[in-house]
Amino acid sequence: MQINQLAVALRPRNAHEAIDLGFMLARAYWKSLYMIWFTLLLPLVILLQFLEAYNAWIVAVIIWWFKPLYDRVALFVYGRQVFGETPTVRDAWRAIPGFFRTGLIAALTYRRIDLARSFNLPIFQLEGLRGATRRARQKILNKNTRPKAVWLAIACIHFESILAFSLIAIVYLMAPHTVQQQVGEMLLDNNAPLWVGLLTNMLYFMAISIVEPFYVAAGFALYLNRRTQIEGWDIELVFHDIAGNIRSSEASEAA
Amino acid sequence: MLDTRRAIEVPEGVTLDVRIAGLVVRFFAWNIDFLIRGAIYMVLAMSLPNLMGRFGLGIFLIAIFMLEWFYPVLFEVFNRGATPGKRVMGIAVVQDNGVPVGWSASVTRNLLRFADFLPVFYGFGIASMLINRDFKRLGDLAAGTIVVYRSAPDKGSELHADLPLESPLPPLYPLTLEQQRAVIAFAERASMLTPERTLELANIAAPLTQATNDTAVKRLFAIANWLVGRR
Repeated sequence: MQINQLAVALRPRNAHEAIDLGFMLARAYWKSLYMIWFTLLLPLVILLQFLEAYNAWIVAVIIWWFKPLYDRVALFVYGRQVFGETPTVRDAWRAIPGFFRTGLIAALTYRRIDLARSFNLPIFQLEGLRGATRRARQKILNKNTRPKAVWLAIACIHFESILAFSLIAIVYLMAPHTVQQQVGEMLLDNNAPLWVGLLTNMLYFMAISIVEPFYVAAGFALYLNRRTQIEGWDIELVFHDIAGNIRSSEASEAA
Repeated sequence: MLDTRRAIEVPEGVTLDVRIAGLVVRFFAWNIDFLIRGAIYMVLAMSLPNLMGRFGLGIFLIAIFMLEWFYPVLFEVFNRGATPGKRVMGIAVVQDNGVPVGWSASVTRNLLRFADFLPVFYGFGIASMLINRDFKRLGDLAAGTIVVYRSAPDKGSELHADLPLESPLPPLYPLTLEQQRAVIAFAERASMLTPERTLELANIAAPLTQATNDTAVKRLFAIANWLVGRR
């Protein structure tokens, strides 16, 4: 890793500060993220809407279930951006086959309920480790940081549900007065017309699109923070400075 | 460089380094405060109406009103910007020019909770804190306040206690404050690094120690001991 090219200030932070840094990261790169996020994921989610006629709840569950896939899109962007590279949609498109070599199948099945998902993802996706090496690596990184990553997930679950309900509530509040009551009843009705399920599921995906990037970035920041801790990245940077200073001053004395 | 640290110039002309506290840690703090208030309500709800009948119920309702609106204000003004929840999480409210939060700012930011609370459970507050670069919710924007991490309490005599002992050695070259800090941090955190990584880092700073490998590590520890004032 070329840590001297990192776009984030390195210093050992406590876990909460690392999470805050991750949120700032997500905020700083929202443009390139959303460009890629919506180009790749919106077609998929729209395709899922054809199941709407069958059952609206199933669509919601599938949208939720595919989150590890969305995470990989987000981490792809952040992994490039922290090294000062802005990936294009074309780069992301080419990276898709790579997503399937990041333990995606396991992530969508028996690892789907891992609450430290976004913290562990860089090990799979950026380090590309597998099997015993991956497990050993994960154990070292998880030590004393995993609980924070789990709490992060619990917080983000709350943010996401609150924003999803907020978006639905705004639809209700903005409905014309004459039909407001019917709209309210339909939003709560299980046998509501097709468009209601379509609308609420798209709003749910919007809420995911707002919160998930922050969740992934925060997990990534926790990962970077942990590596800074156990590998002394911040120290390495300054030591290079020291060595450089001394060498240049010696060179100027010799001249 | 992305960082949560901000330099604020206080009215006295001094620059103050603050570390902005974000949405997640504030969410935890809010939940602790919520549980505390909930516990108080529960005790009051079980005792007051039993003791004083309908009058007690009236008192209970007034107590809810007072606690909901003034619990954060009173703690923020009299407890250096921190409600119990914020205190547990190690964060506090300050004005965004660095001075302690006062009555008007605290009342403003807490009265505006009704705006942050819309449309459901702080939906606007969360959206605002995600968008704003200083993690301000609407109440913070109106009151001109930020939430920051308190600096860690001074450990006093324990300071640098985990520095490995080595007979002190002055550095051969002048070091800036940042560089001195890095040398001390290296010595303090060496036990957390793998042995290979320790050697690798020490070898990077070889021009300073005029040595490599184990000798370099030892000399860096010695310089760190000198830098923290051991002679």
